[in-house]
Amino acid sequence: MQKTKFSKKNNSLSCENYLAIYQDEDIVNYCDIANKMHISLLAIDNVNISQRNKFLEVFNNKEYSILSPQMLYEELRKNCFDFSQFIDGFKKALIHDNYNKVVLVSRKTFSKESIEELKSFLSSNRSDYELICLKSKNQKLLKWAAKDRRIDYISIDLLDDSSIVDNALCSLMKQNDKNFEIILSSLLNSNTEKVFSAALRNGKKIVERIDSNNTPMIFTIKPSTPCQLRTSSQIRHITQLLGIPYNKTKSSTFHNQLVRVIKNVIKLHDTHLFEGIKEGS
Amino acid sequence: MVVLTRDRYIVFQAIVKSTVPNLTELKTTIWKKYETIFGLSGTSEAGLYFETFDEKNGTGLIRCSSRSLSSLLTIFALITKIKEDDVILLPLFISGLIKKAKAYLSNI
Repeated sequence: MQKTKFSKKNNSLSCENYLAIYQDEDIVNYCDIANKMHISLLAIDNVNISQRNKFLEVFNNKEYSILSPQMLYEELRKNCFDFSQFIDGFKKALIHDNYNKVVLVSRKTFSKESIEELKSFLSSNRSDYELICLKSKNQKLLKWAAKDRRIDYISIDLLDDSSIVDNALCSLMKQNDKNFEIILSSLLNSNTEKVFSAALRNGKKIVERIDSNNTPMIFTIKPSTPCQLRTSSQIRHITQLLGIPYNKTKSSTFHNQLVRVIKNVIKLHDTHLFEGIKEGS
Repeated sequence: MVVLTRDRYIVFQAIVKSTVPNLTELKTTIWKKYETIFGLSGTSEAGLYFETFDEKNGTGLIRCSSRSLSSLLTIFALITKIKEDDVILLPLFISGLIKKAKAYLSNI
């Protein structure tokens, strides 16, 4: 029997967790490139669930389809009975038909300076987005957020002050099963070598502290143009510059993000009450 | 003991919005970036050699030493622009045999 050439398919899935988009047209450009690069999960910042669903109704492309995580969840719930089956089901559905699906997730990144502001924001906006992330320089606020069930990630840029991430915060994040979101954009966008080396030096400090506490973290590029999208393998290669071995970041570029999205989708769209998103009054 | 330096062949694609860069521009950008990140000694150890680059499809084949494969892939991921044009250098296939890499390239 003749051997099929290059039959071994690359089954790795990729995700971009932080897309800052200013116009609706940009979403199509990002999705086109994402489909070419087999990036299956795109989290768009500042677009709520209803805006995202409106966009999905208008969008029409024969080469690939754009879905919301809820659509996939509705398809899978007939056959999946526990959480691990949902994760496998999502992964299989995304790989199926040569990666011709792009899943759009709505997300909100907010930066507040006081706990009261944060509380009022969360109570009114939590159910409008599938992911909620916090970016702040206030250490007290970050520690409060690390314990709050409604916040999914704490975002940290490589050029941020490294002292905001201390051992206590890492420990709290780990206890509450939360991820730090490390934004790598300053490595790609730096115009001068000085900025690049500062980002690298500062980033190494932050990542080393998080890693020494075994706190989970995820990596994102936060691209400013569609051509800055990167596959999970490429992101893992970039993180090697920060001193993390390639094999250690296996789940930090897709799996952790997918798990968080599925958890939130189940909480948002199921009829049961859940901790964090839909709670009894 | 003599340790042989093995080569790796990377098939890659340049995804661009407008025009595909030419080989000279591509070479210059990769060399420059490699030198910035890993220094002159790292660049010389990498043994980069551009086997082919098809300017129509934007696909090409590059050779490097097996030890510097990871570094080269990092460089690919860090390159965002070639002469002011946005570009993605996407590695498609890696092989230790040039024959296999060329066969993959011809199948794209």
